[in-house]
Amino acid sequence: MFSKIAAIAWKDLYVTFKDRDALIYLIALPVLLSGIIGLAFGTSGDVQLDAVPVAVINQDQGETLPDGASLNLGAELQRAFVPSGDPAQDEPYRALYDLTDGKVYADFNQARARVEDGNLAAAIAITDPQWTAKALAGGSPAPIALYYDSGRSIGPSVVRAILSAITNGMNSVILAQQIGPTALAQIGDALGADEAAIAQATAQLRAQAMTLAEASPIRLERLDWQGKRRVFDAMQYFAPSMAILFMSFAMGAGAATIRTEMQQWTLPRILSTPTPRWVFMVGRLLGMYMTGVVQMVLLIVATALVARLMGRENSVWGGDLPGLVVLVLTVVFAAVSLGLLVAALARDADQATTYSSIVSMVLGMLGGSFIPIENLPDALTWLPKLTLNYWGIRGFFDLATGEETLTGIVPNLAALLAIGVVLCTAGLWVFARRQEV
Amino acid sequence: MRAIITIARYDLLRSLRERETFLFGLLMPAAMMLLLGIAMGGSDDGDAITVDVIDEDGSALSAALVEALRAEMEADRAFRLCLVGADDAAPGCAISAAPDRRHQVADERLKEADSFGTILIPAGFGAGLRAGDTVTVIYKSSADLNAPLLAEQKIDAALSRLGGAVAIANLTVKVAEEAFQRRGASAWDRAAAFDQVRQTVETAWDTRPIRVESQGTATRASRTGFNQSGPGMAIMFVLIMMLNNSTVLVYEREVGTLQRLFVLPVPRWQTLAGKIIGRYLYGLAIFAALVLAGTTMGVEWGDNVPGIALIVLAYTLTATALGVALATVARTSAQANNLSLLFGLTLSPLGGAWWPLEIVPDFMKLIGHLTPVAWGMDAFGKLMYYGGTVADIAPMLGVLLGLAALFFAFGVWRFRYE
Amino acid sequence: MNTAMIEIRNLTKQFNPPDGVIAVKNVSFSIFRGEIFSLLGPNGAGKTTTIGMISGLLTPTAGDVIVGGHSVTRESLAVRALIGVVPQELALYPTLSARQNLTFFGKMYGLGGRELKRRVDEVLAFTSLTERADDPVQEYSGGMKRRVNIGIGLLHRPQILILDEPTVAIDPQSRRNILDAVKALNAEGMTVLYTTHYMEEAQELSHRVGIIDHGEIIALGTQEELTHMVGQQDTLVLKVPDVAPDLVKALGQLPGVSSCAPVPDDDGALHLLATDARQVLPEALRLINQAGLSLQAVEVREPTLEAVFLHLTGRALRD
Repeated sequence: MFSKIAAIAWKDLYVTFKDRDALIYLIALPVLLSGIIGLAFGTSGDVQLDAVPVAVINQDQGETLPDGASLNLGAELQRAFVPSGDPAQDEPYRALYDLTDGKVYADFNQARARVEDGNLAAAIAITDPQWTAKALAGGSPAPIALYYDSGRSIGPSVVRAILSAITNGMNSVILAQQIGPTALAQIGDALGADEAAIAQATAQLRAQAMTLAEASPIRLERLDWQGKRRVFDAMQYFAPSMAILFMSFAMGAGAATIRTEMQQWTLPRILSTPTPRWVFMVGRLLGMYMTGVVQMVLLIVATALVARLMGRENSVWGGDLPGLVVLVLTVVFAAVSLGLLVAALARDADQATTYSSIVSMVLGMLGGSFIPIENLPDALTWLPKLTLNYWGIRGFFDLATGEETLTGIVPNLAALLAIGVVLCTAGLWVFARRQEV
Repeated sequence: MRAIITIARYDLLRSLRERETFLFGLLMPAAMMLLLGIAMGGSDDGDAITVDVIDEDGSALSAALVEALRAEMEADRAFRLCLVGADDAAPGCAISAAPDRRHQVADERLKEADSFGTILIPAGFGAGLRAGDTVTVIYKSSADLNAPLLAEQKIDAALSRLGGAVAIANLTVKVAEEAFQRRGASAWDRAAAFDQVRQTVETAWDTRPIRVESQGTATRASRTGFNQSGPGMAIMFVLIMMLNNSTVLVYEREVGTLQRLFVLPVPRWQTLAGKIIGRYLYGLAIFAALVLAGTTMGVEWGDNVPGIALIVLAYTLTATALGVALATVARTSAQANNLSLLFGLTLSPLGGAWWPLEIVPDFMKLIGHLTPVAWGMDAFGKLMYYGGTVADIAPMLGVLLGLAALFFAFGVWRFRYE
Repeated sequence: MNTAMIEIRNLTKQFNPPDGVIAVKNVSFSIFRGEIFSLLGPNGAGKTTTIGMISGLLTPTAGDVIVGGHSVTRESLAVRALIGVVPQELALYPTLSARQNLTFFGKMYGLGGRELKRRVDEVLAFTSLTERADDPVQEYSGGMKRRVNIGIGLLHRPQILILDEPTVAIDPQSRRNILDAVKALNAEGMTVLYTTHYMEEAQELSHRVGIIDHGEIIALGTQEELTHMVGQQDTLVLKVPDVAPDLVKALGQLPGVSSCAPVPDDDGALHLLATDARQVLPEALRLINQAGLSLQAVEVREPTLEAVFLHLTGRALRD
């Protein structure tokens, strides 16, 4: 019996990989898509933004301080986006210059027009010549106008983040000037200090207040959930998701050919030889399974090579070989079972092909093959967990990032196995009921 | 001329009656629009995104930070802040956890995508701030593509607000300490003075002088998930369906129905034109249905109906032409089918149907614009986000028509009648 | 020679019982070792269903088939090892070559190694496909595909070869080749069960013929025994422009005519069974003229299986 099973499985594998056109769809397409995604989202893993084009309009004339020094907060703000050419003054903002590409504009309306036609992400304008004075005086607001392009998703956010950091610093300085002296006076009074001492302390406070613009005492450290510095490597996510998606397409198409064998009379013919029905079924399933495993292995090797050619440093699939092997074996089992059930339920081979590609596509969407599905409505968060894509992608991703090894992906393996057993049992049951007619 | 119309009409009617038209032309793209739309942030009034907070410090200052975070993040209901292991949980976020298991619970929630990020206020946060040290708050986010900058901005805003107040209070107290030391500073309640100044500043923060008054160009659409997925999926599926025409043409050549048409007493070019027009009308029908489907999901196509119609007409023409060109390259219908999927599924992400091209590097933008997809998406973007006029989208339409002419020329030149 | 190779006992097949079609009704007969047995009947008579049950594809609703001493219902695998089945459809993998198809099915018959390779080469030679053996079957002509289809059934040198309408829709020359091949195989001692609705084929090949109609064997015997049933009656084939039911009735009532029926799939052809065709012809002509028709062709045939079928069912089988 075993040699017959092997012969059927081998025939299946041979027919699939002999079809050169099918290889486009089995191998070339998923590799290409992984490559495109890798290129789109950069090789290091971070989304690589181009410098955000932004206009700065500063009509602030500044203010002469009581001590005779002059202060132009508008110019300070402008320096965060447009280098002044004075290395000493630009030093604090150096890190920002990579993020934005700032240009000085004289006319706000002109800049607005450039935003509207999509050439600028945003225009930042201080149009009040007395802006510094107003800001320092308090009482009335000193507004900065930000006009941004709603058609862009990220650029304006970057500009807003920089603006808010700068203005927060400035506000701290100003609030310190406004509130500090009163507070000092109160404390001084309570301690019985004389006018002169309070005045001296106030002067000291005003002098030191400028340091408040520098940095907040609270720093924010960004980590990913495993406690490492956050890097989302798109290729580590999308290479497995494309591989699983196209592997399940192939398994669906493979299962559909079981129906083809009924229609093209090769199944009846096999059954007219001394070969029981179960041998045929086991042989075909084994053939599909081997096809799926070979496809996954080829995809893993090919995407890893493409990634190497692209000059990536991160490994796409990680280095945990036992984990990878077991996960490939399990995820292919689940996909074979899915294909089997769809093929069993369909009316004929053509319908089986059509339905299985729809089912694979929809499960792929739900399971996060196209984009990680995070913000589903609360009532639907269980939905992706029914898909083999969800567990498979996460398993591969965890292995690739090195967050988990074989033991860590046991829940994924268990879920995939459960999905596979349920679908496979149902598929075989429906097929068994189709025996005659 | 009558022959062209007859062939086109027959072709269109037959295609529209096929089950696959409904499945692949409407159901599947609509489902993808919906799912991708939700995944990319849905519409403006989507569900709040949950962010967890672990307060290990339990001081007045950490409580103040939680308040500041809540004020910033829940202001426009984009986020919901859940305190892990707190008794007074906000609606929908009762997360019970023993103090020593809070990290585990929060990590689990992150992994299961129950929350989007965890803000960790470490023990010693309050004491450190009072001592004038720099303290660190940790923001752990799920390692996902669309972890929003927005959440970090809100957190930053809350941190600056409290940080500013603490810095001013510390400075004031420090100056007071130095200036009034001789007068028996030991008798002075340093902590009380610090708190008083901090609270004053925090209150004053609401009326801080320098503010950013921002205004978007959005007289029309804004960047929502649906506004990306709507045009994106419509453009992708029209492309796939029109590329798949090559499968139909090659198949008809294989079974001989195409040859049967060519032996009719009708000039061959008319037969071919009839076929192509039939497929084109079919594409227009699919595109129109998808625009309507998108509208019901809240895609803001804008009100420039002539502009939308022109994009649909021009883009579908380009896609049809590409399908005809493909039909001349493919030898068998199986090959045509695989090639149309190959092109459809690779050109779409390259051209920005899956994600906005804004987020990809310059050279990828350039590659993207070699595809009709990018020009179609640009044209829709112009109408949707910039209130563009027909004149504004004329360049994109021009490119699309140019590409169409190129593909048609290639297709007609290489088409095998035999 | 008269040992039964296949014994069919009260075989019945009903699809989707209890209300489904009864395709085969309580059929019993035997096929002897070394003979060519033809199952002759029109399309839908139950030929393929009977073969399906003999080869173990279909489970009988009632009855049994004993093949070479093994019961099909209880020892299906043993039975299948004895028989080679050539289905009516081209049951081949189109993208595989003839050699690959043969090798694959050979393994299904339990062959392997050098033996399998030798058998494949033999079958390729026997079917004259050696030259094109390594081309994909989908590139073959219809006749070549038929030959591969038959060759597969011969791989394991079965004691019994079952051919289900092997000559449907192929050119005359391929048909000739197939008939000759069947005869050659039989000459080597192979028992053959052959189904067809072409009476000429049955007539040419068979030692014995079973006539099946509506799921029942209505006659069975050697050709001589069968034609004897119709006595010395001739078949008169008349060709008229239009067959009116009244005319058929009137012709059937002529003295000396036992039955008259139009030929399916052949407009204007009529079969008359008559004791003496020459005597009936003038009267028949008169009736045809009365009906305002003219006789286009006339032919008198000696007793044939066709006549038997007409005699038994009152219907013409097919010309």
